[in-house]
Amino acid sequence: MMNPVERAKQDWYPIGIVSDPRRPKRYATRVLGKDIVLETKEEGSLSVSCGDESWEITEAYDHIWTSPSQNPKPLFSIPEENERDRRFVPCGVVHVRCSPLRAVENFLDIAHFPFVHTDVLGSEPHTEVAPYKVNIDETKDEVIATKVKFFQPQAAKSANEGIVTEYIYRVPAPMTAILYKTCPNRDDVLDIISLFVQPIDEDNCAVWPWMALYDDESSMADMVEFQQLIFLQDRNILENQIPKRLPIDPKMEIPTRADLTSVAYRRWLKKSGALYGALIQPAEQSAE
Amino acid sequence: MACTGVGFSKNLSNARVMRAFVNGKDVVIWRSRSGKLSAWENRCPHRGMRLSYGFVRGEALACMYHGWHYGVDGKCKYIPAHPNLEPPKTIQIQRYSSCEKDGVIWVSEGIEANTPEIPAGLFPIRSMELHCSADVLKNTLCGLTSASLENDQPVFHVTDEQEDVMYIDIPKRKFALCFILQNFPHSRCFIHVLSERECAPRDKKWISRVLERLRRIAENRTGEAT
Ligand code: FES
Ligand SMILES: [Fe+2]
Repeated sequence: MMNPVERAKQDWYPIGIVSDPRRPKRYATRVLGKDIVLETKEEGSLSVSCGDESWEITEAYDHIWTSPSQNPKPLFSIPEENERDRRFVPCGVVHVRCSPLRAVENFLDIAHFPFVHTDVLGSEPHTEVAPYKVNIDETKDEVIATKVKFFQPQAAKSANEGIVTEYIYRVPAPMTAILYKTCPNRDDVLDIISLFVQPIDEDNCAVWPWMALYDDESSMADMVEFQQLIFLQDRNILENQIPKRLPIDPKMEIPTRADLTSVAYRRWLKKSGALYGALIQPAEQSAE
Repeated sequence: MACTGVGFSKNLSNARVMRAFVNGKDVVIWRSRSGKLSAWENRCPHRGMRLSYGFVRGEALACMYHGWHYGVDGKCKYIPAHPNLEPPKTIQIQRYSSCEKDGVIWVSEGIEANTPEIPAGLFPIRSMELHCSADVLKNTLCGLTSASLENDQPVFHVTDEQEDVMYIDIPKRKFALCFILQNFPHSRCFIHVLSERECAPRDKKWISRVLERLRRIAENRTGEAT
């Protein structure tokens, strides 16, 4: 099997928001442990360099993506980006001291809502996770969870009262998760919230949430603030999980039925060798 | 195996949780609603969350991430995502032994409770966190025995020193103090200060002032070293 770094090099990673007026002309960041520079030229064209190498670059879903490979895998698709009456909201970036895979797994988890996003995405005593379905879509090579239902006191910025929200999750790439959820305003469409994760290295990541919503009431600033609040709550968890890397050995942690998505995600990572940020050998735990 | 003094009983009320390090290991210490003390490995077996962020529900400690409840025996009692499921008996957290003596909480590895090695009947004064390692603090204390923390007068000398307990005589004020040192990672430590006799408010003030000076000296040394 290909080593985890070589496998990780085949994918695209988000490093910025396309229309970000505050990004410096030469913006230094890191991907897969390498220092890179995103350069914005006078005419607006973009390039990414890593030492004297130049990396591939593309724009999609309001973000700038880069890949160290000359021949990266195609970027995953979100067909709903063509629905022009959606509002597309890049939510900025949150830096988290945890493995990029831990960040994705947390996003796929609903059982933590009542405890971490108390009175917003969940509340006691509505803690039960009803059975749902998880599949691997072999043709698209994606993890898909469907019929995920959960009671939420304030599912979105535009929700005024508690509703049972229905979720669908897609994991189209090891460091990307997309969530489709009941729209509080309409019952014929689903809102989309995605998590694009930039692997700084195996123990650090930057999370770029992106939303595609049917919400014409809330202001952009309010929607961004709402998502930021949610992710800051998650960060507090992610930076206190031991070990920092995602354990692949099923004996190291204890999943239950509510964790089916994460179980499928870990298996899928293992099968495809996407183990950058994973803990392969059970390690002696460190204190910090 | 040696005990670590992790703090004063009075600073951990019922239904409260704290974090400590025992021989470099991350430990959660908590008191149930009824006052039972427990010390455990600071890691939830479900998804690895530090239990010191958790909260007490009655006689159980609940993890902050998904709210799993653990009873004082360290066994999982309740999984909120599956309220009707009886949690498997095998889900259990590694326990440390803990005891309280003269107002100090002591923790050691393993299940056998150990008796701490300090004289009985001391009075807890205060705990303080320092941004230096316990070693630096200890060296600072030993180095200051003939020098001064106050007015260039020798104010105390170290009379006895064990691995993480020191006795200090303060002839001028006619009392002796016991310092319990607790090392934390990343160049941090705690000292828990006890006195051999009950201290008047005046004495407590004096101790606080001396501790602050000590902190400054020890933390500056750390700054110089790095
Ligand atoms: S990590 Fe503790 S309950 Fe899930
Ligand atoms: Fe969350």
